[in-house]
Amino acid sequence: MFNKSKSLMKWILLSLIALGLGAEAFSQSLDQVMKDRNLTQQDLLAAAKTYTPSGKKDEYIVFSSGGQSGQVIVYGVPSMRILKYIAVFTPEPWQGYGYGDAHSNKILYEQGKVRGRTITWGDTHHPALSEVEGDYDGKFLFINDKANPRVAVIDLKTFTTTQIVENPIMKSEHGAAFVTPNTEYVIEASQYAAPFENKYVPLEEYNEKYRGAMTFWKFNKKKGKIEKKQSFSVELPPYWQDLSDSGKKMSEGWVFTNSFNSERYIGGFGKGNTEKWKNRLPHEAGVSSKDTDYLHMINLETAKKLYKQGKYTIINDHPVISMDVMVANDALFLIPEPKSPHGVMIDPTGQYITVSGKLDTHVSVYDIKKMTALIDKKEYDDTDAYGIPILSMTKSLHGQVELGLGPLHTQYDSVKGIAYTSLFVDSAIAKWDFINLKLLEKIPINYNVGHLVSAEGDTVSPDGKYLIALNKLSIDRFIQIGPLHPQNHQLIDITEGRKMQLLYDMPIGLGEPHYAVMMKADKLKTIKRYKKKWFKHRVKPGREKVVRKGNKVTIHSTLIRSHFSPEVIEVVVGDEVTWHITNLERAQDETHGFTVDQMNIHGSLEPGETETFTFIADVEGVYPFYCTEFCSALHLEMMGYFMVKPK
Amino acid sequence: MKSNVKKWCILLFSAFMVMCFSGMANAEDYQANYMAKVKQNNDTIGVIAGVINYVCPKLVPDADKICNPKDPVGSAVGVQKYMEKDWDREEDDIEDNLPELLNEDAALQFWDAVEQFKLHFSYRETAKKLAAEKKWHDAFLNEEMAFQYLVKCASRGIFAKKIVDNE
Repeated sequence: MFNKSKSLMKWILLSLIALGLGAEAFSQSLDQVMKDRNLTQQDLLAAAKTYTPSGKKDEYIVFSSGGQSGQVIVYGVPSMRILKYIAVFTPEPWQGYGYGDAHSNKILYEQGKVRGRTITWGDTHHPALSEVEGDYDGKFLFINDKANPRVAVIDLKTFTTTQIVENPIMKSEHGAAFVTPNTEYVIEASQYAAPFENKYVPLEEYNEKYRGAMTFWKFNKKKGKIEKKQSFSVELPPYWQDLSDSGKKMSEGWVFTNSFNSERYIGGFGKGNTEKWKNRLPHEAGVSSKDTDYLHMINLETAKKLYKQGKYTIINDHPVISMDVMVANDALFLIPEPKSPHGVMIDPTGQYITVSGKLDTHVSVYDIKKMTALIDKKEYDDTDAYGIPILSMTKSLHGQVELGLGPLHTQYDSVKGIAYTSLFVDSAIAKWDFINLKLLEKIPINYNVGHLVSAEGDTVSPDGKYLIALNKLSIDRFIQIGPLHPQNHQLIDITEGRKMQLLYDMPIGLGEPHYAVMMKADKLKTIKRYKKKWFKHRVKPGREKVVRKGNKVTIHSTLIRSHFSPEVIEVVVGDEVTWHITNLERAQDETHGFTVDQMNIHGSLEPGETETFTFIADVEGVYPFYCTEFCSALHLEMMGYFMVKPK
Repeated sequence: MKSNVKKWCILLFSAFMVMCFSGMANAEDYQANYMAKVKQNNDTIGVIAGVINYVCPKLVPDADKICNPKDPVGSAVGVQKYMEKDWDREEDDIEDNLPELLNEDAALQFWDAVEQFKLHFSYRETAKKLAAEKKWHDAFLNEEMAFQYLVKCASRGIFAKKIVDNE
């Protein structure tokens, strides 16, 4: 008996060893993976910090401008997984944005018109999240279009664009979108100065008739809309305003923008220039010839009062408060700043204002207490050519810190006094102390970082943890895909108490993202599906019909896994077709696409959504229509025939 | 139990795919096809019942009061009723007021599975009537339509199962 048990034990032991060896043969050790893939311990650490297992969700969500794509890119952090491209200024077929659906057509092609012209692209630069008391509330996102001065509203319940507003006086803009601490206003500042009126004005009259401006778009949070009729602008000198920001806490009520052509220089370099402007050095030389440009300081509270008192001029049906009125009411000031700056950022307390001059190695930290003290005492160094008081730079400064070559944009940490600034020429990120004015650490990036974003880094309570460098060039970072390289977003661990560590390179193959905002993902309050009652033209199940009035045919149809109702529709050549279509699904993620072949229409109908398409049935024939989203096992069978009979 | 359900799910979809690719039936085959489809639907309902019995106790608290392995359809409707107790379906405010659930994501998938299941009944009844009149083609098409809803039900049911199993 004992021997039997002994041999049994031996057998089991041998089996276990064999099994272990077998398992070993089929399993991979971490060491082996490291060896095979030539990875270091640092690489593994970075992988462990970013890897997000299937089904797990990211802690943060990033909204990045999509640059020339006219869209917004959404991705998660730390995984850097792309979640969506939100269609904003550009038609986007997957989301059915601008492909025949009446709602998106209205936003894109009617609201989005610039001086009556349909524009089908945008140059998105700076997204801004709606705020309550200076903290993100996760409800709305705003984004600007530099090329065709416009601002768009994106509702984060649905991650869709709900409004585009055209700036009535600007011909170019850049300093948008930024919001006041309770999202009362969305701020938009102009860039290249131009006449407000839509007419030709010769460049000889630049100083007199070309102007910059800052528009304060009144935002109605309840309606989720910009109220154009309660919005106004402030006239600014033709100094090519750049980035803006709204004051917070200690500086609440003030708005700032910087500039980079206080020289008011006009170039003309090279052959082919208009006769009067030839043989001059290019803009880049003249615009950066002075050592300083001007930080603009606008008292929004006073500007609001002036607007309410009617102290404005109507230009292009839009109220504009003149510089004279602003100056007479102590509401507009200038302060010298290092030349060609890109970015004016307010720290979480609202006291310190950081400006980086791209052609200076220093960042300058201004103190709002010192600035307002000078204003209270009316202690000005001078006035500019337009009579705007100029505050003393030295008396306004808290101090300057030398960080490196090409300081550009700053974000803040959760640790008091700590900031991060991108160094464009150095291709590095500097961590520094803006209270004690010292550089703490630098980390190289690849390459030419423009903006950077830290977690909730422009709010009153930044989170620290993560920082992303939005790099302009990627050069050798990714597989060569032709001469146009992707941009490179590099994720950096900035956890307190550790050295900064580069974690991840994410190629962005959709335009050049400029700025991004990073929010705690649990602030989102998105919906899972639409409520059918939200749509005026919703079609109830069983009430589908086709109604003809003369040559106007209205189709009231529904779709649900896996059929349209009706499935066979007949019209006559020349009929004007209005097609209401409701997705009856209530299940999450049960989206159906809709197209009528050859009609250049496409919709994406999320559960509960109704869309309306209008088109002329102009050519006789047989047109299949079908669901374009693989919705169910019988998705291919989800089709119908749209028959256009000859007259 | 878990592996049994998985096995049945695979069988169900295999059967479905076979049906999809089994070619065109001629008129004489409609009666036979109808009978085969009735059997397939009965078998499918059997699989669905297994999924319901497996998933039900993992969705709602006090499952003993709602989930009854001897009455899977009753269990499924019970889960729906429990979820809908504060809903106004006409006003479309479903899922705005969810009661306590053991797994909300899975429960919402399960809710839709039940919706799909409910839709198959009327087609089967119509099929039965047509079969009694020996209108085998129409009977077959109605039974086929019922099958489509059962597949949709199974599809969402499997989602619910995957979510509760954290697969």
